[in-house]
Amino acid sequence: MNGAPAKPGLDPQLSALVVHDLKNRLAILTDELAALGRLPLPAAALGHAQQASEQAQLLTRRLMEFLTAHRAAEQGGLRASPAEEMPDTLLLELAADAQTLLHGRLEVRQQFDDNPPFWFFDRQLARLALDSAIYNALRFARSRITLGLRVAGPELCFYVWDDGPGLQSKPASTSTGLGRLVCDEVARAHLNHGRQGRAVLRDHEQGGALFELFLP
Amino acid sequence: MNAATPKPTSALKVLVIDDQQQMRQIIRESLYRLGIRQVLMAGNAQESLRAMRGDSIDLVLSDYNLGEGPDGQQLLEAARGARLLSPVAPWIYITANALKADILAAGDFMPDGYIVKPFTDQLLSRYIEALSARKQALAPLLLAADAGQWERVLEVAEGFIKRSDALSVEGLKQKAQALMKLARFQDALACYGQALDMNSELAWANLGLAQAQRALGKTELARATLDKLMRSQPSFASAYDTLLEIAEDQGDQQGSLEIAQKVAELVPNAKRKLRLGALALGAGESELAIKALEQAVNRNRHAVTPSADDSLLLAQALLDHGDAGRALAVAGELGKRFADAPAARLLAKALGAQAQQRLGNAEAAAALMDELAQDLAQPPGAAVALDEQQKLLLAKSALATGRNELGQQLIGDLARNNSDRPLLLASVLRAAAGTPAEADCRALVQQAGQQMSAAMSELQQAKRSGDVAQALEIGERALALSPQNFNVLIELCTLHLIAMGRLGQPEQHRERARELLARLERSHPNHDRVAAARKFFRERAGAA
Repeated sequence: MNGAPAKPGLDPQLSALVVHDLKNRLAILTDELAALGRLPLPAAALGHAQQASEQAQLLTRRLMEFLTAHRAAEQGGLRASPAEEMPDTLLLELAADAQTLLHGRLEVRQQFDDNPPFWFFDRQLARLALDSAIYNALRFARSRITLGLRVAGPELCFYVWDDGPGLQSKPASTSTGLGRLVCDEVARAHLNHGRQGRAVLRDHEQGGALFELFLP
Repeated sequence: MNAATPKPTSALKVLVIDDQQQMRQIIRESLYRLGIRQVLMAGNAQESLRAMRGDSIDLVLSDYNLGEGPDGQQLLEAARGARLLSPVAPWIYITANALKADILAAGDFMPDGYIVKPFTDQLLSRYIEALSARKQALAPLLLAADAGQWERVLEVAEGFIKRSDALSVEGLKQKAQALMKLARFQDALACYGQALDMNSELAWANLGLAQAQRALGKTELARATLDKLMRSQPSFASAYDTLLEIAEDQGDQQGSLEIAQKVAELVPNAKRKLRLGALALGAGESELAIKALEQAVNRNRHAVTPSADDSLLLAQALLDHGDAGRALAVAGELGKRFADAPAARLLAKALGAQAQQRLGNAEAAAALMDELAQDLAQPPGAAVALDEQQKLLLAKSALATGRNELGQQLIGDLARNNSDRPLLLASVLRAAAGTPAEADCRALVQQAGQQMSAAMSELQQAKRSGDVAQALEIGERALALSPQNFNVLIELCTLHLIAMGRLGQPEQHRERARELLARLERSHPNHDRVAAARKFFRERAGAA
């Protein structure tokens, strides 16, 4: 022992605070980039401003995923606060946002196998998980992604289906696994009469990867 | 207040509240791009309240953290509490926090929605449209509930429930709340059960279920429901509040203190810190009381409607802890800050006197107590109105400065008026502890307890034997002894309503029952037994 003080570990509370701070600064950066995009600049400059703005938004989402995963790791875990929501409006909202990101590169389809007038779930958490799944699908889709809704017995299922190469060909090394972790935690946080939500990622029978978020 | 008239989004008058000018500007530009031209801006609570008083606002977009001064939640509570905003106007937080639990735990008035920064124009537009449309559609229900027209709420709610869409759940929620207000606890229980059949985790329905169980006297069942709710929704502050009420009713001092500590950690606002401070002071935990009350004072410093209670209790906690010097400073500041509030001024003198006595300045203490005696010697109409906690502080000051007659008179009043509140009686005994009048006070409390319990058992006996006239006489005698005693007021109000059909002069009994009910409504507006008395009044005597 040389009497030197022990090296303190990073307080998890501090890391959450730092991420909150980063997210707030990103909010200002995103707004600045959006303002830049509205100026009468050359097309190339506007294109760069647009790309920078999208990157800032993606970064914000990653930070929100991190904060959610952080919350899930705390004592008591992540808890959903279910309220009555209209599932179709969430799907439409997700589809509209995906279109904005794609600029026509891919087709975004919506498929309502069922359309219950309302369901109980935590909109904010469900949105976070589905956003993550959509971002993942956009990376692998060839020409289109399908956002869908169906009722599977006592569960509501939101799904994201891409027409990419499917799970086998996806290199795991390009992903941190944070998005998947958040999807699992969000699903698990939903409970109803003892049934727990679940998130499933599998190959679709007709090709491509299928992500399903089942909410009880 | 606004009437509910459907408006297109572009015609909405929006109030934007943010302490950062840059953020206000960003939001305003977003709103402009959505076609919303009527945008009012406020940088703090005072500006916001002024805007809400001066204009009919259709929508509020508020930051949760507003820098110095009240936060978004304090502002929301002040605006909704003072009805400065139509119940149909949505309140949306713009917050940096991603998770709903933070907002869920925040307080008594819930926001209608929240948007996490940063947001796109598209998202803002969707929120505004969806929330405005929802509240406009619910307007007949929200307006009836806001006006306290519970029968009308039941009628309108049925229409929403039958729609079987997302609004039917709100119909069910409002119906259950109206049933509670109408003291139809069994029906409310069924209504909450219906909601929980759909989703077992709905926090509002689980809380309502517990409250209905409690109102039906099933306290242990209510406690179990709340325990389960707190396990599944650890941030839902209202569950702790109800559990705290149960613990207080049962005289469980340690349990009350633990729950109050938990909820004050969960929602560290002035109200919860004050409640914890008051409980800790009553339990003799002066160190904990000082910590909680100092926090309450700090948080209340910028309150929209400041209260003197936190500083009053802090001064007493400091005295109990042996820090008379600081207590004197707190009392002095209090007297100046609340110079226009007679009760606060009176108590600042009382606490100042206590502090002077402790510091060995008996003459200064006596001078303050003489002034106070003059203030108290007002004719009945001009007398300073004190609540039970304030009377307790006054009693303690009187006993500590040798004004035993005043102290004992207050102790006797407190004991008679609160014979059904074990925690308050424990605080009364603690107030006299260590003073020369301790033994006399203990005897007074004991005597008051016996007196009230004898009166109540005599009254029950007369009721059982069907002698309403005698029961009334006993009840009126008991009330003369303890004019604020909750149980006596309830019993007597009920007896007068029974007497209407059995004895002569129904008009007189009806008027007396009305007067007693009005007193109960003032002192315990949300109590289940007051709701039951209100229901009985309606059944026997028509509208109150």
